[in-house]
Amino acid sequence: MSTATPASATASAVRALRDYAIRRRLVGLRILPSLAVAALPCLVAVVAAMVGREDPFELYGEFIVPLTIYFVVPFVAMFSVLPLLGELYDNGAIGYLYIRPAPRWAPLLGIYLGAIIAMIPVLIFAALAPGLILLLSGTEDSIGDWATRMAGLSGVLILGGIAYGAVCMFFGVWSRRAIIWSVFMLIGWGVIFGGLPGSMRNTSPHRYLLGLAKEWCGVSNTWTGMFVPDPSPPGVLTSILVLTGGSIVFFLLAARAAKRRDVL
Amino acid sequence: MAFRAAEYDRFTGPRRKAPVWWPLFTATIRRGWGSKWVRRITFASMMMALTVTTLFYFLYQVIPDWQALLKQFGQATNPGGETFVIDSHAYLGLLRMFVYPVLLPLSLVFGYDLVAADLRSNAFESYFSRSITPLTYLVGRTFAFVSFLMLVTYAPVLWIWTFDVSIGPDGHFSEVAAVPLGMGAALLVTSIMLALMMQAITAVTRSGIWTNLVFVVVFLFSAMLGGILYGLTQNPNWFAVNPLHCIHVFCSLCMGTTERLNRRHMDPTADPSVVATVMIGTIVVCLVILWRSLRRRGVVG
Amino acid sequence: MSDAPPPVPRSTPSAGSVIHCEGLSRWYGEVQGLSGLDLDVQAGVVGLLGPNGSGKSTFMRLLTGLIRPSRGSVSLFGQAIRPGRQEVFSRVGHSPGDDVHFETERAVDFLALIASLGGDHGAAAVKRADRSLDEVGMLDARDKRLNSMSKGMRQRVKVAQALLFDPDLLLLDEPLNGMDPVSRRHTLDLVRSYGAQGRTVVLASHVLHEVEAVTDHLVLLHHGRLLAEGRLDEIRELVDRKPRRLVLNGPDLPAVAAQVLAEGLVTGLSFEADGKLALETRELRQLLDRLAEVGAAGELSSLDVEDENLEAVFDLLVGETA
Repeated sequence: MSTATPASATASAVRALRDYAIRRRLVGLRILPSLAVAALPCLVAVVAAMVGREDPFELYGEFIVPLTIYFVVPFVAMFSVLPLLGELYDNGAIGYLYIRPAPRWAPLLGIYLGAIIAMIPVLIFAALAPGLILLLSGTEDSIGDWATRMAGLSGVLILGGIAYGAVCMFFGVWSRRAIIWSVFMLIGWGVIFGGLPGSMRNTSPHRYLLGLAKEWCGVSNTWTGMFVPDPSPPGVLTSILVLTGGSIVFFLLAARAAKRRDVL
Repeated sequence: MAFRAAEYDRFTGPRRKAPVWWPLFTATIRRGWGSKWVRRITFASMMMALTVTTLFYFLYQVIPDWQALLKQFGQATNPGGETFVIDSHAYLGLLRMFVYPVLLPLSLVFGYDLVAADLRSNAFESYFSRSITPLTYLVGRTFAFVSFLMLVTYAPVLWIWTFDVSIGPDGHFSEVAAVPLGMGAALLVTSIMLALMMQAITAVTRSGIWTNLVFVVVFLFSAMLGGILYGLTQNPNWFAVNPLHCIHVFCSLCMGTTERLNRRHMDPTADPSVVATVMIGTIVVCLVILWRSLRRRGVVG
Repeated sequence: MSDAPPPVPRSTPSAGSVIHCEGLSRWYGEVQGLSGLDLDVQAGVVGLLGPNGSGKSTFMRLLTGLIRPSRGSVSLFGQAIRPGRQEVFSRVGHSPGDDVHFETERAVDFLALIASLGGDHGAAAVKRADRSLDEVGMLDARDKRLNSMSKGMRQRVKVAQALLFDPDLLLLDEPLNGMDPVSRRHTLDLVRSYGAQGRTVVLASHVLHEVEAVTDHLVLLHHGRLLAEGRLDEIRELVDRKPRRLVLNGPDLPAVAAQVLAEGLVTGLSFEADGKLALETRELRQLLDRLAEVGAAGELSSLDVEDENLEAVFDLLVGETA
């Protein structure tokens, strides 16, 4: 019989599932789907380089930043989290994790951390690769400006990955239709309410990422022709607080859902 | 006891008259119909058809001078704008009502696990050890998939059209005579493309979850991408990377209303020939993916 | 059974109770998975029997907290099973009935992962995994991926996973499915040895002779209901409405028949085509005593008590319920 204390079992469970999630999402060919999504902004950069746009630095801010925030982060988060949880719940293997002394949130936290770690290189790639393509296509701006903008975007995307990953964790544990809910919340809700004027805009997760992008990448959070400009984007502190607070809330909801959902 | 060579003997006994792919066809329909969401979407499609026919009834029977009223209203709100008439272009709008909210989700919920489930459960070994070949399998599954999609979309719009011409004013038939053919062609090609696309995705991913994710990425991401690429190059043919746009333009092509397309849109549309090429190309690529995936499993057949 | 102890009230867990259920019910929508199960299980090997769909797996899932009861309660070692109360599972090992794994993992990685959830980490988890694999005879296949194993091998890995922490309560749901005869015997030996050590093993199966081989303490489920519970012979006596059947052979069977008829020990009697004498009785013990005397006198050469085996008892109970 095990003599492990609940605390050591919890810590051990978090570590074990973190490593498992990294193995499942980052190692070998399993990273390809996320990488494919992250590479799509590169296509935009290549086309822009081919047609010879005059100001690649502005183009990076005008097109690549919103594209990665609106689409790459949600999809990379979904690709990293939902298949992991979906497979475990669909075939019932999650039961192995729940019939142990460690509390149910411990393996979930491990999966979440592993998924975030697996997301980070992909999101950095999504920020850097199109930037490098545009940089190489010829630019008048300094390398330092480019580095600041790309590093800033990497930071924004990573924070977005953390927040969106938590949302996906909740839907993955809570519902069998996690993909539909996640698309609705992270893309539908974010795009629609983030693009509408009015107080509902505050509920859009995109708004806070665009607020960070404005400060860290020096780009406008507006994108004429597609979304309504936000006259008062949130500052860095507010954005970080909302995103981290949201991550914690959604993870707690996931932990609660884990207690309530039947494993069949 | 005499030994027999351990080799495969092809069945030489009497066979049923039904074609070989028929059991796969019926099994696919049964499997699809088993999904609660497939039934819900089918019901919603029928309800939409019923609502539109009720609307037509009111327009033609209760307020027969509705066109004059609409014209007055249109001139008051949008002077110089087009007057609404029920013609091929109006039917294009109706078709879109059945393509986007019905055909697309239906193809996802009907087919998200179609080939993947067979791959996971090694059902191919059972299929291909019988007289079913990979080609028969593909035909049976695709025919069932396309038939179901057509039934849920084409049947309601055909019902609406029949109702429209039967209660519409004299001469209305000539305005919309080509509509059934155009809608049928548009829905058939779109259904074939979606059915093959779903099956190809599910054959590659081998997982219902991944198929869902890839489907969402293809349709949502490409919509965004098409807009950006057009913004960069000002070349409307980049819109063709978006399957939704392709479906829209192709439907318009089949209905013979392409010349009116750009008048209704802020952005121009991709050239119909480019769209047709993209759609045919998608169908061919999906067929190649499916064929390769099935042939690997079909060594017995 | 006149000398049987009075029935224990189901609502009170008896001392030393390992599993205690009160009115345990579970519905899946309109489908009844388990209905009003009252059960008290002590240490030892218990066979959980029932045909497919009888509620065995539902019962196992309720015991492990994987699903919540629609009504009633369940406790293990006196501790109620509720969502979020995980401590009791340090004493429980569970091998699920479905062919469920972390498919792409190697056997040793899978077990080390599960060991980590119990508090081990790194080398300690791998060591524990190896020990458990050795226990089920799978150490040679430790580096093999689970999705490349046969079903029987995967079953053994599942059992190994359940044994990881030397559990006091071992829940095995159809563990022998897909196993070859040697592995079956090995697994049954394991179950016996766990029972002999004073632990509790619940072995769910629909294959009756498997259960019969390791225990005569049975819980019979049918259509989600408790059909019978107790020792095999006790259950058999519950069915006293149906007489037991004996088949005799010997040199002077008509004389034996006349004797037992005269003493009123049989309810039916017939001669079979091969000349054997078939008797039906409600007083099996007295009849056997009497026949022992007859046999000692050399008038009987063989005696078989038919429907003694579990399968027949189960058929009988199910038939009566139906």
